[in-house]
Amino acid sequence: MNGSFYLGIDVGSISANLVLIDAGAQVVFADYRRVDGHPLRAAQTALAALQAACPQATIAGIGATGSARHLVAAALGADIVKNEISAHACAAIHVQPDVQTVIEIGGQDSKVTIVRDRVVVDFAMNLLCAAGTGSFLDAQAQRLNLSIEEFSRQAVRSARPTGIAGRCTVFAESDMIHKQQIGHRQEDIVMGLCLAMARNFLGNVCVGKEIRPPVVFQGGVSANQGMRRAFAELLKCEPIVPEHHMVMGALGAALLAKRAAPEASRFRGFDVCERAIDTQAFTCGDCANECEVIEIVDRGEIVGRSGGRCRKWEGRAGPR
Amino acid sequence: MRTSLATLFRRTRNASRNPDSLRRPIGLPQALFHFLHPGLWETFFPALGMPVVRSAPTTRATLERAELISETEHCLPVKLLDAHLEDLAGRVDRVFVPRILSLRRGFISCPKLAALPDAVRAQFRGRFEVVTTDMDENRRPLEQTLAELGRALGFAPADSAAAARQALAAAGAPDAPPDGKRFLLLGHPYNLGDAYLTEPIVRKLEELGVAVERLPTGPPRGAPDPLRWDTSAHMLEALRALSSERCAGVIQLTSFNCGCDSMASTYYRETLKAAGIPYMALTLDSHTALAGLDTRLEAFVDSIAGRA
Repeated sequence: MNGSFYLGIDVGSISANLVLIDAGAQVVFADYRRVDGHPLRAAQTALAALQAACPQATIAGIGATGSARHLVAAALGADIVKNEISAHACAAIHVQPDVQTVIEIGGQDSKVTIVRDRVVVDFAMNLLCAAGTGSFLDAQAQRLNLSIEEFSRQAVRSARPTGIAGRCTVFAESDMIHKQQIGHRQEDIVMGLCLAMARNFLGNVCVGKEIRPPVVFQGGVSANQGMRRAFAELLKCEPIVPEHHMVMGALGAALLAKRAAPEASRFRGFDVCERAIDTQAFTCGDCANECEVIEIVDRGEIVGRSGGRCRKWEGRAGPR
Repeated sequence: MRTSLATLFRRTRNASRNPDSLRRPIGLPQALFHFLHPGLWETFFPALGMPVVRSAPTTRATLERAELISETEHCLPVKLLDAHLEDLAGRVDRVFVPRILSLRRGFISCPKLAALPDAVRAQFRGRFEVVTTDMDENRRPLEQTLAELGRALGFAPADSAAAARQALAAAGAPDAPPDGKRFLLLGHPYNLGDAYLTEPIVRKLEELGVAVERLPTGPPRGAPDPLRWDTSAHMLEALRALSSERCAGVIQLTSFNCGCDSMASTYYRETLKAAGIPYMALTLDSHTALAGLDTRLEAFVDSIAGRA
C-alpha cells in the first residue's frame, strides 16, 4: 500500500470505529469494536488492528469524532476534531449525494439530520433517555434471551407484529411480558419492539422535522433487519443502508481530515497503541464552581485536558 | 380568587408590624425574580432603610443543593430559588419572595410564579419569615406595588413612594446589542440571567467565533396573540421582529419541565421558520452534560456555516 491515507476514528459510548480511506476517498480498512468502558483502550486496539492490516500505510491526516473525540484526539494526535452530527452527515452525503434525511441510531443516542442540497439544515438528538437507541434493543433482546443477530432474524419473519408500548423501556418490559403471557409469538413481539422503537424515534426526536426521502439509515442499530423494516413501514419508503453503515461517523471524520488536507499530520505514530496512556482528574480551584478537569497523560507528560464550565482548560497540554 | 389572594397578602403585612423590627435586614435570593427586574429590589429595600443580604451567585454547589432539597416537580429556576433561599436561612430572619401574577397588563405569569411564597413557606417552614407582595400588573402598576409594600412594612407613605421611584429608576436598562450579524440566546429572563447556566453556552459560542446577544429582559408590548404568558409572549414578540439579515440563528434555553415553553416553542419554531432563521432548543437541567451541549452547538454553527 502506497500513497496518502486518511484516518477517521469515532469513539462513542458503546463502540469505537475506525476507517482508513485512500486519496480517492475509497474505504480501504474499517474496524468496529465495542468500547466496553475503556474508550482510549478501544481506540488503541482499533489502531493496532489497522497497523496489522495495513503496515505500510502513511497517515496523511486524522479526524476524530464521537462523544470521546477530545480524549481520542489528544491521545492519538488528530488534525481535525468534529462533532458526530456533522461527521455522520458528511459521510451520508458522500455516499448518497441526494440524501434528504439521515437517521443515525447508535448505542446511547439517536439523531435525525435534515439535508437539503448536500447541506445540513436541521438536526435533532435524543434527550435524557435512551429508550430509542441501541441500548434499548440490547436490553429487550437480553430479556428474550436472544442474541441481537437472532433478534434481527426473527423480526423479519413476523407476520403480525404485536403492538407494544415503546415510550419507556420499563413500560415496554411489562407490556412485553403481558403479551408473552397472553400467547403472542416471539417473532411478532420482536418486530413489535422494533416498530415501537421506530415510532418512539419518529415521535420524539423527529418531531417538527420534515422527513423526506431518500432516507439514509446508519449507526449500529441500522444493522438490525427489524429496524430497517420498521422504518420502511412507518416512513412508507425503503431506507438506504450504506455499505459501511456501522462506521459512518469514522468515515465522515476521515473525509473531513482529507478535506482539511493538513500539510503535516499531527498523528503521533502507531506506537501510541502500545503506550499506557492514562487519564487523571483534578478539581480546579480557581473559582467556586470547582469543576472536574480531566488530564490525558502519556509517558508522564500531560498531552491534553478537557472539562470545566469556563473552558479555559480545553485542549491545554503541558504542566498546570 | 382575588379575595383569597388579598387575604394572604394581608396576613403577610401583619407579620412585620412591630416598629422596632422595621430595619431588620431582609434576604434577597439572587435567583428567579431577581432576574426579572435586575436592580429593583436591591435598590428598593435599602432606600427604605432595610439592609439587604444577598445569596451568593449560583455555582455547582447551588445546583447540587437545589437538586437535593427542592421538590422534584419544580423546574430548574424554581429549584435554584430554593437553594438560594437555603443559603440565606440562618443569615437573615426574613426573606423577600413576591407572588408574581402578571408582569404586564393583559398578560399572566407562569402559575408556578404565582405560588412562590406558598411553596417557599411550605419548603422552609419556620426557618425565616417570608415577606411578600402581589406583583400584578392587571391590578396595579409596579410603582404602586412597591409603594404599597413599603407602607405594609410600616414605612411612611412618602418614604415608600420615594423608594419606589428610586427602585424603578435603578432597574437596569438592557445592554446595547453587539454589531453585525449575531446569534440570539432566547429564554426566560431567569434562565438567561443566571451566568452559571449560560456560561458554558456563551463560552462555547465564543470559542466557535460567533457573536451572541441575549434576549433583553422586559414584558411584552403588544396584545396577547396568541400567548398570554408574559415572558413567553415577550419572547415571541422579539422573534417576530427579527430579520435573517441581522440574526444568524436562535438558540433557545429551556428548562426541562417548563410548561410554558412546551406550548410556546411551537410558535417560536414556526415564526423562525417563516423568517428563514435557523432555530435550536437546548434543554437545561441539573444533569446537563456539557458534551451533549457542545455537540449540539458545534453542529448548529456548522450547519449555518454550511448554508452561507
